[in-house]
Amino acid sequence: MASGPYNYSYIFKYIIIGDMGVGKSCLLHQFTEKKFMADCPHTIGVEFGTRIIEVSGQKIKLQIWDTAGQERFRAVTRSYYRGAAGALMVYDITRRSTYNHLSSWLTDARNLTNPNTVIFLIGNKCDLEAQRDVTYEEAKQFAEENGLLFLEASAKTGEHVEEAFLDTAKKIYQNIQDGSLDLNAAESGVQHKPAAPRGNQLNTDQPPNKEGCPC
Amino acid sequence: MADSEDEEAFHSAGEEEVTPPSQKSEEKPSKSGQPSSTSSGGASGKKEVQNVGKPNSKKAKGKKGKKKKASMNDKGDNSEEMKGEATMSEKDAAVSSETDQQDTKQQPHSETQLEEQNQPDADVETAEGVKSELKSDKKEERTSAVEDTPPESSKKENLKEQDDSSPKKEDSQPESELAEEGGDAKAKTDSQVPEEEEQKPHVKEDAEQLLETGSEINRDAQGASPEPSQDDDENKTLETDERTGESASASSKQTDAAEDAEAGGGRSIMGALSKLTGEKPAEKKASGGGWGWGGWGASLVSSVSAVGHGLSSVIENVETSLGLPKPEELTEQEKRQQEFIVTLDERGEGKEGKEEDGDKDEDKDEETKDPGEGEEMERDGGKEGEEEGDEKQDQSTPEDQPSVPSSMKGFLSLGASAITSVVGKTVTGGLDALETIGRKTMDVLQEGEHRLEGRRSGQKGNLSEMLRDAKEEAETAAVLEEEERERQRAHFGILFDKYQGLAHLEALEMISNQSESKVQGSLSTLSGEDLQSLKTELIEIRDAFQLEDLESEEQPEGSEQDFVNAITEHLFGVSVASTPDKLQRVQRSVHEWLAECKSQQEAAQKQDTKELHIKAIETLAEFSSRVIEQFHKACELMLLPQDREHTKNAVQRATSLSKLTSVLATEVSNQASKFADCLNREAANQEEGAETADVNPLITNIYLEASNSTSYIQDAFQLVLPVLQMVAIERKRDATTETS
Repeated sequence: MASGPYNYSYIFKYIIIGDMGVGKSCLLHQFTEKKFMADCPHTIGVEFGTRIIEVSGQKIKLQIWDTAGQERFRAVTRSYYRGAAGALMVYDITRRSTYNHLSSWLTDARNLTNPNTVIFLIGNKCDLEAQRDVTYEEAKQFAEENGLLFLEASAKTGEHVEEAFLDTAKKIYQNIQDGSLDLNAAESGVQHKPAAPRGNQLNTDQPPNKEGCPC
Repeated sequence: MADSEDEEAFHSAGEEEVTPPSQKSEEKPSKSGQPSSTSSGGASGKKEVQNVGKPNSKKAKGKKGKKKKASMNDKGDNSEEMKGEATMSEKDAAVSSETDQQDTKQQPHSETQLEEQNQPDADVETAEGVKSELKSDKKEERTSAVEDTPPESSKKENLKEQDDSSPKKEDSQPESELAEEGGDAKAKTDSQVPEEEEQKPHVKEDAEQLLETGSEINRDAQGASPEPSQDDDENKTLETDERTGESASASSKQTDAAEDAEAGGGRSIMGALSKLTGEKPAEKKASGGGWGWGGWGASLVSSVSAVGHGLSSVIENVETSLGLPKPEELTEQEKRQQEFIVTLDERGEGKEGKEEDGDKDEDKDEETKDPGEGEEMERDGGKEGEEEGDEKQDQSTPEDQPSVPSSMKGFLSLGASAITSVVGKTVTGGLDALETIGRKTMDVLQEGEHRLEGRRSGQKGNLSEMLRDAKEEAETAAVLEEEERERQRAHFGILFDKYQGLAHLEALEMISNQSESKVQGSLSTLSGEDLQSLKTELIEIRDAFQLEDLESEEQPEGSEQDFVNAITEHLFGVSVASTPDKLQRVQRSVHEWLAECKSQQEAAQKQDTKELHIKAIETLAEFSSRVIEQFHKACELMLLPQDREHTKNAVQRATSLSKLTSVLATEVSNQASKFADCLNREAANQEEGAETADVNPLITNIYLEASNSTSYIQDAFQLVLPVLQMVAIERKRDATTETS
């Protein structure tokens, strides 16, 4: 498995949260498929996306949980925060209400994830500058006050989408490196897959364990 | 030499005196250094002692005098020197001196060698010590520098001084004591240094460089000494007063003990002092030894030497930045200054010597004048009483005349402090560099050899064998990798993950666990009839949730439409507003693919069995993923608030879900058997040879993964139960609240 396309050292669990229609699923789609999904259906509960990235020479698989933004799913999606290593909190720069709800989302994120979870604030739809309803500065200030990483992005153009996901991963990886994120903790949201020594047994019961070599 | 030695001894004596207090702080280094130092120090000490015999007396006088009156001045000087050298205890000195005497005769050469090697280090250390002291007090810095310098001048003038000193033989013992102590201290430093050098070649280089710089400084100091001494005297007197008391008492004790060790210690001290002061002979030796070390170190480790060069350049830069004159200039200045000093000293010494002699005879206390002998500095510092003023005037006049550049003083203090910092930086920098190099090397070695690493620990065969094994291993690993890549494509678990089946299963599990805990929570809050009725209902649901025996219920190979109808019906039975779109899509495409495959095979088109197998596994993985997603979505929808408005009761839902699961499981086994048929047909088509044997494992694997897939589906199904139960409970609660 050492050289297989599925080879990676870590799995990071991300969760994307935010009001309905801010573009969470589109951001995910843009990140995983590098395409813009124009007519994105409402997400039911949670959808998933994965992509393998590289941070500091380490291959990391991002397992991204794209939650439903509809209020009626709020109770369900709260179940999914647990064990997230990174949380992407998205609002729509053209709709002030989505920005105003951030504190509520942030409260959830803080309460339902572990203290080391990296929270990244994304102001989506930054391509729609003419319809801007939330200034970059106030959002930036909000992010700084709450210790969040922040970027304005566009799922449509792809601007800063990559950066948002990668910066989050870098921050998580940094937390791992400096020891502030304990990989052994059940809720860390990070699974470590040490380079598989040859001769490992393939574990068929655990599909994600791709490192085993049946030799 | 005698004079210089005397002076040195004097300083050293002062140091010794001070030592007791200083020892406390410095105990550790001295202890570690002592054993080795005694031997080396002893050797050097002997030679020095022999030479010093007369000079020592002067020193002794100085000590005594200092103790009472001049002690204050000396203390300042002594303390400074002491820090660097004085750590040695008197006892050690005595012992060493005895041994040294014997040794000296036997090992004249060895002594010199030791001195040479050690000197540089000693100088450095002393210089450092001085510097550190200097840092603490600028005044001290000056004094120390001055002290160092006078010895040099004194050495040159030794002949003259000796005359003075000779009359003072009486005091020779104390001097020797001082010398011994100093020698021991030197020895300690020396001994320590060699050890360090062995461990860290670069350190040697640094030390060499330091020595060089130190020698330069010494020169500067020499040049400056005349002037500084005056200033120092004034400054010292103030500062020294406090110290003097201590040093005086210490010195008195020392003198007694010192008698034994005197001879040896004197020499060693002299040597060290001379080195420090920058005596020409000593310098030469030291520098020679230093270079030798440097060359050795460089040849040993090229990288290290590189580091050393870098450091040396750094030092040079520092020197230039400090405005230190070039070595040539320094030497010239030195000569001039020395000439001045000699003349001055001669005059001053004569006067002073007389005074001292008189003092000695009369009172040791009065000996404070001793400093005046050869060492202007000491005089300045030492002169406390009436004599001080006189001496100062005497000295000052001659000293002023030389018009030694006042900047030299600045050099001294600046240079000293700068050098201390430089030394510190270079040493630490050198260490850091070495450490970095070492780590890098280890990293590179380990990186390049991880294959070999394991074998190394295991087998200790010869290198070629190891390498051959490693090569074979690498080849097999490559083959295995290729196979593995192939295998991956047909690996159910990986594919299941790829289709997000695993993620949905995990999410479903989270919901399920949460529901489960809620169910338990509501059970714990209830009691009596409510609890009983609830329990009954939950058990009903659970019973309805049992999967019927799949085998017996095996459906006839239904058409595509049958399947879609069945699952749609059952999903509706679950009362979830979810349509099995994805499931249907997957199911349809699978059957289309199978149909096409069958037609192709009937058209005698060859199919790759491996590809067939991969397709089969992929299909199973995708389908089961979609099934689990379906369950997951159903649960999410059931948990929605409006879901409670649905009329169907939990038991009905459970029954529908069970049937749905059965249908799905059946579909899985259907697909598996169809793929197996496909493979069998392929094998039959190929017919010739043992091809059939090739297909069997693949078919077995398909059935295996089909059962794997079924078990995933059943697991997911079981996860729905708590959700269903919790929804039932909440509905019941809603109903009761509504009615009430």
